[in-house]
This record gives sequence, C-alpha cells and structure tokens, in this order.
Amino acid sequence: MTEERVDKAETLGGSLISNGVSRRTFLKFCSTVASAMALPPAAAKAMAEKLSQATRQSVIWLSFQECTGCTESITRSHKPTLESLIFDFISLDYHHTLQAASGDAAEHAREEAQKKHKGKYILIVDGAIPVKDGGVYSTIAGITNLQMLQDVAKDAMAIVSVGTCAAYGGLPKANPNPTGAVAVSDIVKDKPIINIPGCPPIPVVMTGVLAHVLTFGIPELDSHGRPMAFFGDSIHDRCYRRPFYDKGQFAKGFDDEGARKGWCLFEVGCKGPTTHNACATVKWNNGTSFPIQSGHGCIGCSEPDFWDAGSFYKPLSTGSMNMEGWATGALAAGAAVGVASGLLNSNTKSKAEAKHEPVTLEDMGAKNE
Amino acid sequence: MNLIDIPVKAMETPTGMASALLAELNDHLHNLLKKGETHVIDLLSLPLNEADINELADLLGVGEVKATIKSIGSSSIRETAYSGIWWITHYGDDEKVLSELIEVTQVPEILVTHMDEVRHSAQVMASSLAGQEKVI
Repeated sequence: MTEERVDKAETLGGSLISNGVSRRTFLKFCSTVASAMALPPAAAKAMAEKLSQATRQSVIWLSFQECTGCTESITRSHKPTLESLIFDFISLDYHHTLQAASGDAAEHAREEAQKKHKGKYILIVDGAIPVKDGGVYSTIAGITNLQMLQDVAKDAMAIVSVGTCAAYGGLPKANPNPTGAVAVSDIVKDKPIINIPGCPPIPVVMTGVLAHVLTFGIPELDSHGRPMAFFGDSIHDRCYRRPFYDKGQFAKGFDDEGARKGWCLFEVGCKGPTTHNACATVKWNNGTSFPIQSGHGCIGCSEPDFWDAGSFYKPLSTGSMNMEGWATGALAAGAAVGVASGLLNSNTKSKAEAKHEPVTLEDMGAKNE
Repeated sequence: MNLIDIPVKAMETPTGMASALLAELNDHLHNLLKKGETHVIDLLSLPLNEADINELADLLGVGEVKATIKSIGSSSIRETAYSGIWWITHYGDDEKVLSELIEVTQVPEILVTHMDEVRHSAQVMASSLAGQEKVI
C-alpha cells in the first residue's frame, strides 16, 4: 500500500522538475508533438498538463527477429534532442539491448515489471515472430519468441508494434520465409495493437505515438493499424516532386536529364503512390532529407509485404507490381480479422511469390537514354 | 549543366495566405477582447511557403516584448506590433525549427510560471534558508 502511494505521489511533473526538466520544456515538447501529429495547437497545453499528472509509464520492449535498426532509430540522436525526452516519461523496464542487466537478472527485471504493473504496462515489440517448428528459430534465455510474446502480451494494457517486421512480418517473412515469421497481430488477438511500420520507423513518429498513448490514449488508426496522424497521407500526396508528376515530367533513369532536373521518380520505380508514411514531411536525419529528395524512389518499406512486391525499380504502372495486392487486397486484409485475414494474407503472398523477381542491373539501367 | 539550371529552387512568391491569416487573426483578437478566448495557430501545419511566412511577419510587425527561453534548444517569443498577437518559435538543439506558433493571448502559455514550479522553488528556498540558519 505504502509503495503504491509513493508511486502515485511521484508524478512526471514532480520528478522532472527535481531533475531540471522545466515545465516550459514539457510544453515545448508537447507543442512539437502536437504539431507533428496535426493535433489542434491548443492540445499541447492539455497534453503537457496530462503528462505532468501521469506517473512514469512502465514499458517492456521485446526484440525478436530484428536487426536493432528500430532501436537505433529511436535512440540514435546526434545529441540529446527534444524527442529523446520520451525516455524521461517512460520507465523502460526491459529492453535487452539497452538495459544494463544481463542474463537471469535481465529476465528477472521483465518478470518483476510484468507482476508489478500487471494490466498497466505498454508492450513494445520490434521484430517478427518465427512460428515454424515450434518457434525454435529465435529464442531469448531459452524461451521462444512466440512463448515470450504470448506471456508478456497477456497482461499488457496495449501493444505497440514498432517497425515493419513486428507490424507485418517484414524481412523475416519475405519469400520463402524459412522460419515461418509472422506479425504480432497474427498471434495476439485480444489486445489493442498500434502498428508503427517503417524500416526503420521515423523517430518522431515513435515518440509522438507514445506521448499520445500516455496522454490521450490510443490514437486514431487506419485499416493497417497505423496512426492516421502519420500514415494518413501517401508519400506521393506530400512529395515535393509531385508537381512534376502532375506535369508528366519523369526521370527515366538515374542519370538522365530528368533525374538531374529533379523530376518525378515514378518511372524508375518509386512506390510513393502506394506507400503511407510521414517521410515526405518529417524527413530523416534531423530533417535533412528523405529518399526521394536524395534521388531514389520510395521502396514502400512501411507497407505489408513490401519486400516481395516486385522490383524496387519497376514502375507501378507497368504491372510488375501487384497493384491488387498492394491496394485493394492489402486494405481488405487489414480490415478483415481472423481466418479471413489469414486467407487473404496467404493469397497476397502467393501472388507476390509469383511476381517475385530479383533486381538486375538491367532493371536499374534499362531505361537509360 | 550548372546547378543554376536545375528548376527545383527555393524561389517562392507569396500565395496570399498571409492576408487570409490576418483576417482570421482579426476574429481571434475580437474573441479575446469580448470573451477572453485565447487561440493558437500552428504555422507549420499550414501550407505556407517561406515567402508567405516572411510576408506574414512583415504584416504583423515587431512589438515591444521579446523573450528567449533556453531549454533543449532555444525558444523565441515575440509580441508583434499588434498587442495580444504573439509569434513563438521553438528551436531544437541544432537550431532546427521544431514548431512555430501564433498565439492570441495576453501572455503566452509558455511564459507563465507553472504553479508546480512555484511550489518546487518555494521548497528549495525554504531548505536553503534552513541551511543558512544552521550556519549562523
């Protein structure tokens, strides 16, 4: 009881003030998040007020079949930035790459957090879950990823699938999927799941969604379980090269006149029109640029099964892409649940398998003039 | 071909958004005056180009208050020539603009000292006074 009261008394507002994080910094963080999430600007004050009244949210982060790129993305800031403040708002009770503890002590910390914050912790997952042969292809402390996910998800308040692997299976699931990798949502059916896909996702998208969950709860999601605020528009919708598309001015190769003039990359395979993400507005590396700005088409990394959807260098319109699988089929799969979604997924997959072609040099240079 | 030949340039002309915003700000000023209602406009969420922002800044002018906040990068808070209309820019550590707001209010929210901090500073003051007594 006493411990609980102490916990309650230690609000974020109180603990941060004693650590030198001012209320103004709070408000500044919230203004930035509100702006990035297209919330009404007045929401920043409400968000700051709610955050300061909140206690530190327990978070358990499980990394499965992944490359640690998602963790790199959220932690790799050049210097302490406003975005990294999110680590002051949460209590990261388990993250096997970041935590100091190792071995039994690490697993003990996870069990402890699961017990202490039963029903209240947020579970973040990065990486896909191999289920073939009983899930033996990826284990942590002798526990299969499948077992650990089921065990930790059971008492979680909500789950955040960070990165395309956790959200949709990603690269581990790519044809021929030797380990039987699946997404979190294929296994956990009874908890709210927020998908933050991307390979990796944009840091501010991750911190923004977490701040939203801490203050206003789960944000509005699209049919793929992605927050509308960041995934509502396609890359194409917000692309600065869009005027060239509208005028029919296309680069036909990576070193032709159109490429030099910065024209639209649609004909060299840009997947911007079928990809939903915030890269075109939020950009990467502290707002420096994003793939299209650097002269390469979007590869569609935040969409399901992007790896098997044909060459990155084949234009969408030539039919090398399975348009049905990318748009209609994928949308329907997101909306359907259970058996139907499984069927559609395997349908999409077999189509993608049939269309799968390795990238050749010709693909990249064939259209050169 | 020279760089100058590339037609993708930051050469922008005002789109007229600035005067549209001015009309909106006029309404908000009246609301503040009559009903005490404050308002915030998020400039980054609007389709404004750099020329629009400059035009808006010119139209609003410069008032007599300028404040700077230092917290993980700086923030600049300026009252415009129209009293009650404030221009707020939050910068990140790298001088990148994180958010840019126009607040119609008597005092921008971020300048007001929060009571939690007053409470904290009262505690710090009390303990430092207690420390002094011991020394004496």
